[in-house]
Amino acid sequence: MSTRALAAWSASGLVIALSTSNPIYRAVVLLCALNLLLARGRRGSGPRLLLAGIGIAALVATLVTLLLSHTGAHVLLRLPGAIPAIGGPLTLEALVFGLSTGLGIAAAMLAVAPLTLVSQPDELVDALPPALARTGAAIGAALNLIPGTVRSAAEIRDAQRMRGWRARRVVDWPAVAVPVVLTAIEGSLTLAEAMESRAYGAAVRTHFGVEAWTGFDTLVSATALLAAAAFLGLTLSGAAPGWFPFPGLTAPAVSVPAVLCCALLVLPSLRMRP
Amino acid sequence: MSAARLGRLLAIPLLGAVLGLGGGAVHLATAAAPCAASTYTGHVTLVVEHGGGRVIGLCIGFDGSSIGGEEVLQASGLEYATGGYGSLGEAVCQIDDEPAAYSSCLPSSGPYWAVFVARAGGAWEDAASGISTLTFASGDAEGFRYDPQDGPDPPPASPAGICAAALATPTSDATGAGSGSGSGGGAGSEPATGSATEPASTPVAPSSAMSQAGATGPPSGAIAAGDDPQRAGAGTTPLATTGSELSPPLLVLAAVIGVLAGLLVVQLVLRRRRT
Repeated sequence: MSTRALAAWSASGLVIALSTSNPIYRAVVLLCALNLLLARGRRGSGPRLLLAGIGIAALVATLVTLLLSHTGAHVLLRLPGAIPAIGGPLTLEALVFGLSTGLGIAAAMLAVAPLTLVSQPDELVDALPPALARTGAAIGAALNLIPGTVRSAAEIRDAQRMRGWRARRVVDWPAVAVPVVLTAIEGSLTLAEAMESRAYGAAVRTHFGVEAWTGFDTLVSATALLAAAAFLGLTLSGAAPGWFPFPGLTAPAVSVPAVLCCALLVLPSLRMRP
Repeated sequence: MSAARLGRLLAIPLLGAVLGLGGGAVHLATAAAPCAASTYTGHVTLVVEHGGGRVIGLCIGFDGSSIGGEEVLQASGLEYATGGYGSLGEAVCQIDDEPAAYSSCLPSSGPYWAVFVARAGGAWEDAASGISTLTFASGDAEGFRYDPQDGPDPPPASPAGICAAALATPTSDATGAGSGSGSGGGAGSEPATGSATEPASTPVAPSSAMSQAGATGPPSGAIAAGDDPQRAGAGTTPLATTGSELSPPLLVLAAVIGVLAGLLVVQLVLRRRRT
């Protein structure tokens, strides 16, 4: 599957997940994204770490909403009012709204996750329009420096410890920070020279292999973009209303066309990775 | 992969869809509508409590399994105006010319129209959204109270008995919007007695710049929801509807969720085999 088609799919999923407050549609987008990750995810790109991160983000969103929003008719628990910010009634409505918010965050993150878990980084840079190719390559290279700097900091700290260094006060830290900064600058210069020696910026970027664009890619892109456009239209026209549990908890409304728009995102999952 | 294994794997999403549909059917077949007489298949009680204490009680007839919150107000013949609040739907700014003028439907201070719902003869509850997103089944009630935002915050007068009395009294209203009337307006009896007179108010064009939905409605409580072509294709259904019929949107949702969950199981099995 082409990375450009995948990008169109991710953009559509993101638009749907972020344009509605209705947890029904968010849940359908989330299920479609999970299906895609499992069907077309790269070997060795297990989504466990990502899923754990998404779970933590959703949990934090739920807790923050529950603790800070004291609105709602059904009180579950009352914290002493003397506690700043979180003191007061904790309501069922706030809990459910927090869960819905967490669901939205999870759906949005899973919608863009295939860009890294299904595509290779070089495929992602290749998929950028020519005008953004240089910027994309520079940003990609710069982002790669972050884990390198973290590794470098750990190595320098261990080396200093072997020499008897101990971090007792703040003034001790420059013994590690200065070498880390110098190593990072050196690494950046080496990277720049390597890129220049490979003619980066001298001409239009060449490709080792051109990614094929198949009829299935056209189908996936067109379906995803049309589904997102139709969903936006339904949302803006009021035919696919959002959901708000305050002041009293009610069930979200369901619109068949909107559900079908979300469900169309399952299309790329129906074709297994070769 | 053998055909038998493939068949077993494909059976999972199909089973999910069937289970989803079954769950939706069980959920939907629980409630029954109490009002089943007269020309219309369903009846919803409308209670409007003005700031001065005057109460208007009406019985609105409709065909089909449900009627929208705004359609109930439109069918009543009462003058009303609404203002949009995004995904929350339409808020009621004015009913029966109260307030005479306004700059905001929901002012931060000062009176406003609070919306209530009562499901299947139950107690009044605060509506969670605007009237354009509310849906009522037969036996439900929609209530409006002009809340002064100071002092006590009681619900409107009880809707009990309004539809029963209106349906028991012969009326010349051929289109089924039976009516009670207000106590303070001098045009009938208390809502609980449900006399069959027309509402005391006459629609007039409100002076606000906001949407004047009431101005386009009929001059009396004389339309049914099924007769409004603009509303026929709205097609949204609350997840916890109390209608007595199976709701197609919920069945579609249950089927979609079931298929997606089943596919997820298939993908998990295939991924484990690949690795």
